[in-house]
Amino acid sequence: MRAKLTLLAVAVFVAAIPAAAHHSFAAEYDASATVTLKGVVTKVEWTNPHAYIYVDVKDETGKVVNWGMEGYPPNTLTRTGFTRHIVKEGDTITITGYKARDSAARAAAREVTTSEGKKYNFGPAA
Amino acid sequence: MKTLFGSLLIATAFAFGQAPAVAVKIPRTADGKPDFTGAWQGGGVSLYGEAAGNNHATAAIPQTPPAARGGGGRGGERLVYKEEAEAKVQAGRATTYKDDPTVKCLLPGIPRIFGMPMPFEIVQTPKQIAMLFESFHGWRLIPFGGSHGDPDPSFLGDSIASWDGDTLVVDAVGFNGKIWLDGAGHFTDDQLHVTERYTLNGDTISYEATMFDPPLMNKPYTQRMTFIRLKEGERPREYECIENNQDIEHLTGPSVKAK
Repeated sequence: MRAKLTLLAVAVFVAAIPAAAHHSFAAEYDASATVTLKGVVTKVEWTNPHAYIYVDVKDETGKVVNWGMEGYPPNTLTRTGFTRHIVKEGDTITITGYKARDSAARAAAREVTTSEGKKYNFGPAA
Repeated sequence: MKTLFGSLLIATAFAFGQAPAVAVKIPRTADGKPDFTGAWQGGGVSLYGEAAGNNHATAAIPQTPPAARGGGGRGGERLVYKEEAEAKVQAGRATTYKDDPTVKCLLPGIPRIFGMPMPFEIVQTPKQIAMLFESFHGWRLIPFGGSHGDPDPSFLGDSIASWDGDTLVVDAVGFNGKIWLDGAGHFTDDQLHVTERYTLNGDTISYEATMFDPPLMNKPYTQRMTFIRLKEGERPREYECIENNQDIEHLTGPSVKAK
Protein backbone atom coordinates (compact mmCIF):
# COMPACT_ATOMS: atom_id res chain seq x y z
CA MET A 1 0.00 0.00 0.00
CA ARG A 2 2.75 2.38 0.98
CA ALA A 3 4.82 1.61 -2.12
CA LYS A 4 1.78 2.11 -4.29
CA LEU A 5 1.10 5.54 -2.78
CA THR A 6 4.72 6.59 -3.28
CA LEU A 7 4.65 5.53 -6.91
CA LEU A 8 1.48 7.47 -7.49
CA ALA A 9 3.07 10.55 -5.94
CA VAL A 10 6.11 10.30 -8.20
CA ALA A 11 3.94 9.97 -11.29
CA VAL A 12 2.06 13.11 -10.36
CA PHE A 13 5.24 15.13 -9.79
CA VAL A 14 6.63 14.20 -13.18
CA ALA A 15 3.50 15.54 -14.80
CA ALA A 16 3.50 18.72 -12.74
CA ILE A 17 3.75 22.11 -14.35
CA PRO A 18 7.11 23.69 -13.51
CA ALA A 19 7.21 25.32 -10.14
CA ALA A 20 7.33 29.00 -9.35
CA ALA A 21 5.77 30.15 -12.59
CA HIS A 22 2.79 32.39 -12.01
CA HIS A 23 1.41 31.45 -15.40
CA SER A 24 1.03 28.44 -17.64
CA PHE A 25 4.46 27.45 -18.98
CA ALA A 26 3.07 25.98 -22.19
CA ALA A 27 1.16 29.16 -23.04
CA GLU A 28 4.44 31.01 -23.38
CA TYR A 29 7.34 28.58 -23.86
CA ASP A 30 8.08 25.47 -25.92
CA ALA A 31 9.53 22.77 -23.65
CA SER A 32 10.96 20.93 -26.69
CA ALA A 33 12.85 23.99 -28.02
CA THR A 34 15.89 24.08 -25.77
CA VAL A 35 18.65 26.66 -26.21
CA THR A 36 22.16 27.00 -24.80
CA LEU A 37 23.52 30.53 -25.05
CA LYS A 38 26.90 32.00 -24.19
CA GLY A 39 27.23 35.73 -24.01
CA VAL A 40 27.73 38.91 -22.06
CA VAL A 41 25.16 40.00 -19.50
CA THR A 42 23.71 43.40 -20.42
CA LYS A 43 21.15 43.69 -17.61
CA VAL A 44 19.80 41.82 -14.59
CA GLU A 45 16.23 42.54 -13.46
CA TRP A 46 15.78 41.37 -9.87
CA THR A 47 12.02 41.70 -10.09
CA ASN A 48 8.70 39.93 -9.61
CA PRO A 49 6.95 37.90 -10.76
CA HIS A 50 10.18 36.76 -12.43
CA ALA A 51 13.83 37.75 -12.44
CA TYR A 52 15.40 38.30 -15.87
CA ILE A 53 18.92 38.09 -17.20
CA TYR A 54 19.56 39.76 -20.58
CA VAL A 55 22.48 38.42 -22.58
CA ASP A 56 24.13 39.65 -25.79
CA VAL A 57 24.74 36.54 -27.88
CA LYS A 58 26.44 36.34 -31.31
CA ASP A 59 24.49 34.26 -33.82
CA GLU A 60 26.10 32.21 -36.64
CA THR A 61 26.45 35.29 -38.84
CA GLY A 62 28.19 37.27 -36.13
CA LYS A 63 25.16 39.44 -35.47
CA VAL A 64 24.61 40.24 -31.80
CA VAL A 65 21.15 39.42 -30.45
CA ASN A 66 20.00 40.42 -26.97
CA TRP A 67 18.17 37.52 -25.32
CA GLY A 68 15.75 37.97 -22.41
CA MET A 69 15.91 34.97 -20.07
CA GLU A 70 13.10 34.55 -17.53
CA GLY A 71 13.82 32.89 -14.18
CA TYR A 72 12.35 32.15 -10.79
CA PRO A 73 11.07 34.99 -8.62
CA PRO A 74 13.86 36.64 -6.58
CA ASN A 75 12.61 35.03 -3.35
CA THR A 76 13.03 31.53 -4.76
CA LEU A 77 16.46 32.39 -6.16
CA THR A 78 17.64 33.84 -2.85
CA ARG A 79 16.39 30.77 -0.98
CA THR A 80 18.40 28.51 -3.28
CA GLY A 81 21.59 30.54 -2.83
CA PHE A 82 21.38 32.37 -6.16
CA THR A 83 21.59 35.82 -4.60
CA ARG A 84 21.38 39.09 -6.51
CA HIS A 85 25.19 39.32 -6.36
CA ILE A 86 25.89 36.16 -8.40
CA VAL A 87 25.47 37.53 -11.94
CA LYS A 88 26.35 41.12 -12.86
CA GLU A 89 26.27 43.26 -16.00
CA GLY A 90 29.38 42.58 -18.05
CA ASP A 91 29.79 38.96 -16.87
CA THR A 92 30.20 36.28 -19.51
CA ILE A 93 27.82 33.42 -18.73
CA THR A 94 26.33 30.34 -20.32
CA ILE A 95 22.60 29.98 -19.86
CA THR A 96 20.20 27.26 -20.95
CA GLY A 97 16.44 27.50 -21.42
CA TYR A 98 13.30 26.86 -23.41
CA LYS A 99 12.42 29.24 -26.23
CA ALA A 100 9.34 31.43 -26.24
CA ARG A 101 6.67 30.51 -28.75
CA ASP A 102 6.25 34.10 -29.99
CA SER A 103 9.76 35.48 -30.08
CA ALA A 104 13.19 34.43 -31.28
CA ALA A 105 15.09 36.07 -28.46
CA ARG A 106 13.19 35.18 -25.31
CA ALA A 107 13.33 32.01 -23.22
CA ALA A 108 12.43 30.44 -19.89
CA ALA A 109 15.85 30.00 -18.33
CA ARG A 110 16.98 26.83 -16.62
CA GLU A 111 20.68 26.77 -15.72
CA VAL A 112 23.29 29.49 -15.46
CA THR A 113 27.02 28.73 -15.56
CA THR A 114 29.00 31.69 -14.27
CA SER A 115 32.35 32.82 -15.65
CA GLU A 116 33.96 30.96 -12.71
CA GLY A 117 32.24 27.77 -13.83
CA LYS A 118 29.70 27.61 -11.00
CA LYS A 119 26.28 26.26 -11.96
CA TYR A 120 22.94 27.48 -10.61
CA ASN A 121 19.31 26.78 -11.42
CA PHE A 122 17.86 30.09 -12.54
CA GLY A 123 14.51 28.62 -13.53
CA PRO A 124 12.51 25.41 -13.41
CA ALA A 125 12.91 22.35 -15.60
CA ALA A 126 10.17 22.15 -18.22
CA MET B 1 -8.27 4.65 24.17
CA LYS B 2 -4.67 5.28 23.27
CA THR B 3 -4.80 2.45 20.72
CA LEU B 4 -8.00 3.82 19.25
CA PHE B 5 -6.38 7.24 18.96
CA GLY B 6 -3.37 5.68 17.24
CA SER B 7 -5.58 3.83 14.78
CA LEU B 8 -7.47 7.00 14.04
CA LEU B 9 -4.22 8.80 13.34
CA ILE B 10 -3.12 6.11 10.92
CA ALA B 11 -6.51 6.11 9.22
CA THR B 12 -6.32 9.88 8.89
CA ALA B 13 -2.82 9.68 7.47
CA PHE B 14 -3.97 7.25 4.80
CA ALA B 15 -6.95 9.41 4.01
CA PHE B 16 -4.54 12.23 3.25
CA GLY B 17 -2.33 10.01 1.15
CA GLN B 18 0.54 9.94 3.61
CA ALA B 19 2.54 7.21 5.19
CA PRO B 20 1.22 6.24 8.65
CA ALA B 21 2.18 8.86 11.18
CA VAL B 22 3.44 8.31 14.69
CA ALA B 23 1.48 10.26 17.30
CA VAL B 24 3.30 13.53 17.93
CA LYS B 25 2.80 16.16 20.57
CA ILE B 26 1.45 19.25 18.91
CA PRO B 27 2.01 22.80 20.16
CA ARG B 28 -1.01 24.23 21.97
CA THR B 29 -2.10 27.69 22.97
CA ALA B 30 -2.75 28.73 26.59
CA ASP B 31 -6.42 27.81 26.15
CA GLY B 32 -5.49 24.29 25.01
CA LYS B 33 -6.23 24.67 21.30
CA PRO B 34 -3.80 23.42 18.63
CA ASP B 35 -1.43 26.29 17.85
CA PHE B 36 -1.03 26.75 14.09
CA THR B 37 1.19 29.81 14.52
CA GLY B 38 4.26 29.64 12.29
CA ALA B 39 5.50 29.73 8.72
CA TRP B 40 4.19 27.07 6.37
CA GLN B 41 4.36 26.00 2.78
CA GLY B 42 1.57 24.36 0.86
CA GLY B 43 1.37 22.94 -2.58
CA GLY B 44 3.14 20.09 -4.28
CA VAL B 45 6.35 21.97 -4.90
CA SER B 46 9.09 23.22 -2.66
CA LEU B 47 10.03 26.75 -1.78
CA TYR B 48 13.26 26.12 -3.57
CA GLY B 49 11.74 25.81 -6.96
CA GLU B 50 11.89 22.08 -7.57
CA ALA B 51 9.23 19.40 -7.36
CA ALA B 52 8.84 18.34 -3.75
CA GLY B 53 10.00 14.80 -4.39
CA ASN B 54 13.36 16.07 -5.61
CA ASN B 55 14.03 18.58 -2.89
CA HIS B 56 15.96 18.19 0.33
CA ALA B 57 13.55 20.35 2.27
CA THR B 58 10.46 18.38 1.43
CA ALA B 59 11.62 15.01 0.15
CA ALA B 60 10.74 13.21 3.36
CA ILE B 61 7.12 14.24 3.25
CA PRO B 62 4.88 12.71 0.61
CA GLN B 63 2.86 15.54 -0.87
CA THR B 64 -0.62 15.68 -2.17
CA PRO B 65 -0.20 18.04 -5.08
CA PRO B 66 -2.88 20.65 -5.47
CA ALA B 67 -5.12 21.07 -8.42
CA ALA B 68 -3.25 24.34 -8.91
CA ARG B 69 -0.51 22.37 -10.59
CA GLY B 70 -2.77 21.80 -13.55
CA GLY B 71 -4.53 18.57 -12.75
CA GLY B 72 -7.86 19.70 -11.46
CA GLY B 73 -8.61 17.06 -8.90
CA ARG B 74 -5.29 15.73 -7.66
CA GLY B 75 -5.38 15.03 -3.97
CA GLY B 76 -9.10 14.41 -4.17
CA GLU B 77 -11.63 13.31 -6.71
CA ARG B 78 -11.44 14.66 -10.24
CA LEU B 79 -13.30 17.92 -10.64
CA VAL B 80 -15.86 17.79 -13.43
CA TYR B 81 -18.23 20.71 -13.95
CA LYS B 82 -21.78 20.65 -15.27
CA GLU B 83 -21.93 20.07 -19.01
CA GLU B 84 -21.91 23.65 -20.31
CA ALA B 85 -19.34 24.83 -17.79
CA GLU B 86 -17.14 21.80 -18.42
CA ALA B 87 -17.12 22.64 -22.14
CA LYS B 88 -15.77 26.08 -21.27
CA VAL B 89 -13.08 24.51 -19.08
CA GLN B 90 -12.04 22.26 -21.96
CA ALA B 91 -11.95 25.25 -24.32
CA GLY B 92 -9.60 26.97 -21.89
CA ARG B 93 -7.34 23.94 -22.00
CA ALA B 94 -7.01 24.41 -25.75
CA THR B 95 -5.81 27.98 -25.28
CA THR B 96 -3.24 26.90 -22.69
CA TYR B 97 -4.97 28.86 -19.96
CA LYS B 98 -4.28 32.31 -21.32
CA ASP B 99 -7.16 33.68 -19.26
CA ASP B 100 -5.83 32.48 -15.91
CA PRO B 101 -6.45 35.47 -13.56
CA THR B 102 -3.10 34.98 -11.83
CA VAL B 103 -1.34 35.82 -15.12
CA LYS B 104 -2.62 39.35 -14.50
CA CYS B 105 -1.28 39.14 -10.94
CA LEU B 106 -4.78 38.88 -9.49
CA LEU B 107 -5.19 37.06 -6.16
CA PRO B 108 -5.53 33.30 -6.64
CA GLY B 109 -8.49 32.79 -4.28
CA ILE B 110 -9.22 29.99 -1.83
CA PRO B 111 -7.97 27.28 -1.85
CA ARG B 112 -5.72 27.91 -4.84
CA ILE B 113 -3.47 30.37 -3.00
CA PHE B 114 -2.19 27.46 -0.87
CA GLY B 115 -1.00 25.70 -4.02
CA MET B 116 1.32 28.52 -5.03
CA PRO B 117 5.00 27.71 -4.49
CA MET B 118 5.42 30.37 -1.83
CA PRO B 119 5.13 30.27 1.96
CA PHE B 120 2.53 31.75 4.24
CA GLU B 121 2.53 32.68 7.92
CA ILE B 122 -0.23 31.87 10.39
CA VAL B 123 -0.66 34.08 13.44
CA GLN B 124 -3.20 32.64 15.85
CA THR B 125 -4.89 34.44 18.72
CA PRO B 126 -7.91 33.30 20.77
CA LYS B 127 -10.10 35.70 18.78
CA GLN B 128 -8.85 35.33 15.24
CA ILE B 129 -6.46 33.64 12.83
CA ALA B 130 -4.34 35.76 10.50
CA MET B 131 -2.87 34.24 7.35
CA LEU B 132 -0.15 36.23 5.59
CA PHE B 133 0.69 34.91 2.14
CA GLU B 134 3.86 35.70 0.23
CA SER B 135 1.86 34.81 -2.84
CA PHE B 136 0.34 37.93 -4.39
CA HIS B 137 0.45 39.81 -1.04
CA GLY B 138 -2.64 37.89 0.02
CA TRP B 139 -3.87 38.05 3.60
CA ARG B 140 -6.87 36.72 5.53
CA LEU B 141 -8.17 37.79 8.93
CA ILE B 142 -10.47 35.04 10.14
CA PRO B 143 -12.46 35.67 13.34
CA PHE B 144 -13.69 32.87 15.56
CA GLY B 145 -17.48 33.03 15.57
CA GLY B 146 -19.79 35.72 14.26
CA SER B 147 -21.60 35.68 10.96
CA HIS B 148 -20.68 36.49 7.37
CA GLY B 149 -23.27 39.23 7.07
CA ASP B 150 -23.38 40.69 3.58
CA PRO B 151 -19.73 40.91 2.54
CA ASP B 152 -18.68 42.74 -0.60
CA PRO B 153 -17.49 40.15 -3.14
CA SER B 154 -13.72 39.58 -3.04
CA PHE B 155 -10.98 37.31 -4.34
CA LEU B 156 -10.28 35.67 -0.97
CA GLY B 157 -13.86 35.85 0.29
CA ASP B 158 -15.15 36.31 3.84
CA SER B 159 -14.07 33.68 6.36
CA ILE B 160 -15.19 32.56 9.81
CA ALA B 161 -13.31 30.09 12.01
CA SER B 162 -14.55 27.48 14.48
CA TRP B 163 -13.22 24.35 16.19
CA ASP B 164 -14.34 20.78 15.56
CA GLY B 165 -12.38 19.11 18.35
CA ASP B 166 -8.74 19.75 17.45
CA THR B 167 -9.55 20.55 13.82
CA LEU B 168 -9.74 24.18 12.77
CA VAL B 169 -12.70 24.71 10.47
CA VAL B 170 -12.97 27.78 8.23
CA ASP B 171 -16.14 28.65 6.37
CA ALA B 172 -15.57 30.97 3.41
CA VAL B 173 -18.14 32.72 1.21
CA GLY B 174 -18.39 36.15 -0.45
CA PHE B 175 -16.18 35.33 -3.44
CA ASN B 176 -16.31 37.52 -6.52
CA GLY B 177 -16.57 34.94 -9.30
CA LYS B 178 -13.25 36.10 -10.76
CA ILE B 179 -11.02 33.37 -9.31
CA TRP B 180 -10.05 29.99 -10.68
CA LEU B 181 -9.94 26.95 -8.42
CA ASP B 182 -6.76 25.72 -10.09
CA GLY B 183 -4.45 26.32 -13.04
CA ALA B 184 -6.54 24.03 -15.19
CA GLY B 185 -9.25 26.49 -16.09
CA HIS B 186 -11.84 25.82 -13.39
CA PHE B 187 -13.40 29.27 -13.23
CA THR B 188 -15.93 30.14 -10.52
CA ASP B 189 -19.22 31.83 -9.86
CA ASP B 190 -19.83 34.22 -6.95
CA GLN B 191 -21.90 31.52 -5.23
CA LEU B 192 -18.74 29.55 -4.40
CA HIS B 193 -18.71 28.22 -0.84
CA VAL B 194 -15.51 26.73 0.58
CA THR B 195 -15.25 24.78 3.84
CA GLU B 196 -11.68 24.26 5.00
CA ARG B 197 -10.40 21.84 7.64
CA TYR B 198 -6.93 22.23 9.14
CA THR B 199 -5.47 19.45 11.30
CA LEU B 200 -2.11 20.02 12.99
CA ASN B 201 0.27 17.04 13.06
CA GLY B 202 3.30 18.81 14.55
CA ASP B 203 5.39 19.95 11.61
CA THR B 204 2.69 19.37 9.01
CA ILE B 205 -0.90 20.45 8.60
CA SER B 206 -3.38 18.18 6.85
CA TYR B 207 -5.58 20.51 4.82
CA GLU B 208 -8.88 19.73 3.21
CA ALA B 209 -11.01 22.17 1.20
CA THR B 210 -14.52 21.28 0.14
CA MET B 211 -15.83 23.55 -2.60
CA PHE B 212 -19.35 23.87 -3.87
CA ASP B 213 -20.33 26.29 -6.59
CA PRO B 214 -23.99 25.43 -7.34
CA PRO B 215 -24.24 27.02 -10.82
CA LEU B 216 -21.15 25.09 -11.97
CA MET B 217 -20.96 21.86 -9.94
CA ASN B 218 -23.35 18.96 -9.51
CA LYS B 219 -21.84 18.08 -6.15
CA PRO B 220 -19.22 19.37 -3.70
CA TYR B 221 -15.60 18.71 -4.58
CA THR B 222 -12.87 18.08 -2.02
CA GLN B 223 -9.17 18.82 -2.45
CA ARG B 224 -6.43 17.83 0.00
CA MET B 225 -2.94 19.15 0.58
CA THR B 226 -0.22 18.86 3.18
CA PHE B 227 1.39 22.03 4.50
CA ILE B 228 4.96 21.78 5.76
CA ARG B 229 6.44 23.85 8.58
CA LEU B 230 9.33 25.92 7.26
CA LYS B 231 12.79 25.64 8.69
CA GLU B 232 13.77 28.14 11.38
CA GLY B 233 14.35 31.64 10.01
CA GLU B 234 12.41 31.18 6.78
CA ARG B 235 9.33 33.31 6.34
CA PRO B 236 7.23 35.02 3.69
CA ARG B 237 8.93 37.84 1.83
CA GLU B 238 7.68 40.58 -0.49
CA TYR B 239 6.28 39.47 -3.83
CA GLU B 240 4.97 42.39 -5.88
CA CYS B 241 3.72 40.50 -8.90
CA ILE B 242 2.78 43.47 -11.06
CA GLU B 243 6.30 44.94 -10.88
CA ASN B 244 7.67 43.39 -14.09
CA ASN B 245 4.95 41.14 -15.46
CA GLN B 246 6.17 40.61 -19.01
CA ASP B 247 4.42 37.28 -19.51
CA ILE B 248 1.03 38.72 -20.24
CA GLU B 249 2.31 40.18 -23.55
CA HIS B 250 3.87 36.91 -24.65
CA LEU B 251 1.15 34.36 -24.05
CA THR B 252 0.01 32.59 -27.17
CA GLY B 253 -3.36 31.25 -28.22
CA PRO B 254 -6.78 32.87 -28.46
CA SER B 255 -8.66 34.14 -25.45
CA VAL B 256 -11.69 32.11 -24.43
CA LYS B 257 -13.50 35.25 -23.34
CA ALA B 258 -13.05 36.84 -26.76
CA LYS B 259 -15.00 34.08 -28.46
